[in-house]
Amino acid sequence: MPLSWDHAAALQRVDGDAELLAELVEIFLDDYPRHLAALQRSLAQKDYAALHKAAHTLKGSLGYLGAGEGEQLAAAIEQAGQRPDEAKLQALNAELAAYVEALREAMLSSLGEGERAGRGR
Amino acid sequence: MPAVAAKPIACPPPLPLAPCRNLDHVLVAEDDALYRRILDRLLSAKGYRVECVTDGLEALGKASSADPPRLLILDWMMPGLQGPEICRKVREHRCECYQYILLLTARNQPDDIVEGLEAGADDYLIKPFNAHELLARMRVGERMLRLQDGLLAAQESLRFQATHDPLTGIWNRRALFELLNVELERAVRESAPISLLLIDIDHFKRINDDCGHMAGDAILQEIAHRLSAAVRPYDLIGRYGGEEFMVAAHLDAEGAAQLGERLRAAVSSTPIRSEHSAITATVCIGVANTSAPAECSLEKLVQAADLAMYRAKGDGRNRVEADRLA
Repeated sequence: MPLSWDHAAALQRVDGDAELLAELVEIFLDDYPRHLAALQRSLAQKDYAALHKAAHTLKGSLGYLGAGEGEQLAAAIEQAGQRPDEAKLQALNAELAAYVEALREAMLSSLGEGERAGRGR
Repeated sequence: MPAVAAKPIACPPPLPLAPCRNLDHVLVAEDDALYRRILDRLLSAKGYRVECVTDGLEALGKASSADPPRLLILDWMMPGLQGPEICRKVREHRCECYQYILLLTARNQPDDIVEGLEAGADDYLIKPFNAHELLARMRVGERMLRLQDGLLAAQESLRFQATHDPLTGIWNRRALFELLNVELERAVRESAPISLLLIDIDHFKRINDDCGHMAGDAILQEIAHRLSAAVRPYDLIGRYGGEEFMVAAHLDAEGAAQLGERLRAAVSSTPIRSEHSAITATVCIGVANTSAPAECSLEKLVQAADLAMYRAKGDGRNRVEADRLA
């Protein structure tokens, strides 16, 4: 599915501070592989507390960065982790991982365009 | 002998008001790097002094340190200690200054909000929050802290006014008697001698009549100052009445007589200079002492000091007379 990132909404949240937003995206892009890995690992080990924690963190970051769908997926994993259904969690994990990878592309292209626009001015 | 200038007259002593302190000092306890960065950046840009920690135990350590932050932003889920647990511990610890706590919580968890507030948080912020909401809530926190600090300062000022003599700044009569009872009880408990000294300014009415009440006030202030400087730091000194002061000390008869002599000399040895004149003031001191405080009472001690003081007056003023009780 083609994914677009609501760059404008995220920018509004940080009061128009594009520099801060770029930094936050960088933090997110650095961190998310670790959290996705934690989701996979904790599901494999049936460590639902760790699963909950990783999903919770991703939910917070995605929510802040204006990635609503991803936030909802992470919230679904967080909730499903309370009444574990492995098959469902596997599916959700896969869906979230795919979403986040697509988001990464969208973010990089959005920020890249912003930079080009900035330089062009 | 050089005259010593009295302090400005009719000016009440300064009140020890606690100023609003550290209202810009914020602690951010957040294990998520993204939110930590957001909070640090948004708050620093507004001039807050931001300290960031990533662990609940570390947050509690900072919150109860010698330089405690006044505003605490605590994430709910953290390693070490969870947000609400930190709230409870901070409230138990009872910092000298109130600390305003803003708890960060995730969306769709209304039970959490109640639990967090019950644990001692003042307010909460739901993630993801926007910059304006965060800063508005910080301003609410600051407003609360200012009110709180103002109340504490007013309370302290009232406490000071209720216990101190406005002219001289030493204990007033009410506080003096409360403290005298405490000291007498201590003497009973320790079976130690206690002495009471009643100090009355000689010819004070004449000073007032000849030099005016302003000069009279200046004399009272300077004598209170000299007596306070001459007693030991742990002796009790207060204004007993118009021109009378009282000192209580855990001293035997001999020690009390020496103290009385020292106080008498401190007043009479140097003239007191006010705006237009230099006046040599003297005092009469009646000393009462008991080495068996359990068989004594405050009334008896005061009465004995009073009688001794009148004897000193009769014997020609600028004198110390002692009366020893059992």
